[in-house]
Amino acid sequence: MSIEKDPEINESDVTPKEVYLDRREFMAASVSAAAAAAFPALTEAGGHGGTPLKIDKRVDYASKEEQTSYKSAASYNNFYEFSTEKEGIAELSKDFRPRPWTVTVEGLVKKPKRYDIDALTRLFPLEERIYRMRCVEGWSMVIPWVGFPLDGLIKLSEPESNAKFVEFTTLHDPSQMIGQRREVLQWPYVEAIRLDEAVHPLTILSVGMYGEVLPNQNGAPLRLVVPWKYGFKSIKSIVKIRFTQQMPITSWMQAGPQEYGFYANVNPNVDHPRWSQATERRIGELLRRKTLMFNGYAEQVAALYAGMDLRKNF
Amino acid sequence: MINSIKIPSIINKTATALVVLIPLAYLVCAWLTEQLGANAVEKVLHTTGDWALNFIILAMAARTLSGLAWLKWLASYHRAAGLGVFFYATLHFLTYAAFEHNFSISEIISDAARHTRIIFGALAYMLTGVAVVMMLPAILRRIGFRRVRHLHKAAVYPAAIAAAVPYVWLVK
Repeated sequence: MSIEKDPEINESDVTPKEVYLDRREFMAASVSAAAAAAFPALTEAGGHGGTPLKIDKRVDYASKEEQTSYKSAASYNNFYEFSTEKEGIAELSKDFRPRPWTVTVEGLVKKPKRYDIDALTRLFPLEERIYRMRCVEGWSMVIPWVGFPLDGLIKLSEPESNAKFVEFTTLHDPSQMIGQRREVLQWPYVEAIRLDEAVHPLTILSVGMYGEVLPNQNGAPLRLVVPWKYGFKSIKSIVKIRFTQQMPITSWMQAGPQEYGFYANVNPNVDHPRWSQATERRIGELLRRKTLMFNGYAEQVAALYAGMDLRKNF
Repeated sequence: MINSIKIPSIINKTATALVVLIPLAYLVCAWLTEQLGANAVEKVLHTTGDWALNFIILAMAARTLSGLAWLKWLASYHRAAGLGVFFYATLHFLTYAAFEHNFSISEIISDAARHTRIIFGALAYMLTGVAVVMMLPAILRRIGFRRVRHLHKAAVYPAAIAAAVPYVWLVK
């Protein structure tokens, strides 16, 4: 896939000389201004015990459907790195250390780099995106993620013209992630998406939820959110982002190739071999609801798959 | 010695019934205090299914262990355990029918047609029902105790195996 014209640097983008010379003072002033602006955020934030985040923009991509309670979102997690039991993750991950943390961007890019997580986050204004999240198991939530478009990082990294896929890797540390002591999956956890899916405006890297920093059990300090795919594609606790030419084999493709494909687009017409995907249980509701094509994001993403057999490419 | 403890029948029966109902009491309390977790329906489905299986084990244990002289008194609890199986299997089926399929028969049949584990579950439930019904005094008298003994075993052993299948197959 060819990258559209490189973002051009204009005369007007050049930092004014006075600002450049006084850059340390400029930074200090901006940080304290941000902190002052953040104090209202401190009182606004849901008070769930996490550090509040400063959010520049809020968009509801879940058609005003009721948000899942923070309690449910933070206590019902598929995170096999800690355990295969969904309700034990919060406890098992409470001593997990999301700092210090680096994220390496490598592979077919002109600007590979190792980022400190806080330095990476500061590069982009944070947005709150309220997305539906649909697990392949047949349950779903509506979660207000806080993050920034993955496309921002991709533009900074300048993928080579032959880069077609973006592969993500989770931390591999059995001393902290006790579930990794058993080969439940091949560790570390690897996920991947096509480059056009990665630069899509809906795809974000998330550093928080419900106005606060991500709890450990939800993938601290950095996770992917691709809302039109089954939840297992939204990889957690990312340490590496690699651009490749060949389609990577993801952890779930490796574990169950008949059951878990590369695309994993939410599709009520394509059943999982062992259960139907036509309906889902929205956490907090008693009766099941109909699953929506592409998790309700068909309008925004269907074009990515025009002409594809979605049953074969599941 | 323990065989000769005499408990008035009405107290014995009430106490046994209450013990069988403990898992249900736990579920109701947990639901009222919002301790069933984020996916309450799944928790109830699993718990009722688990206890149907547990009571199968208890029923078999009561029957087998009562062969030991000092455990003869267990035999009288075999029936309560069997009823426990049927009770929790019924709750399990009702939870499934109500919250997975909104009581739609066509949806249930379609689910069973596509997913073998549902067929095994349904088979286990029907066999359990047959095992209970044949012990009703009216039926027992007509078929005869000796025949019923054989039929009962022919129903409960396959039921036990069939019941284990959905449990094992639902591991992701």
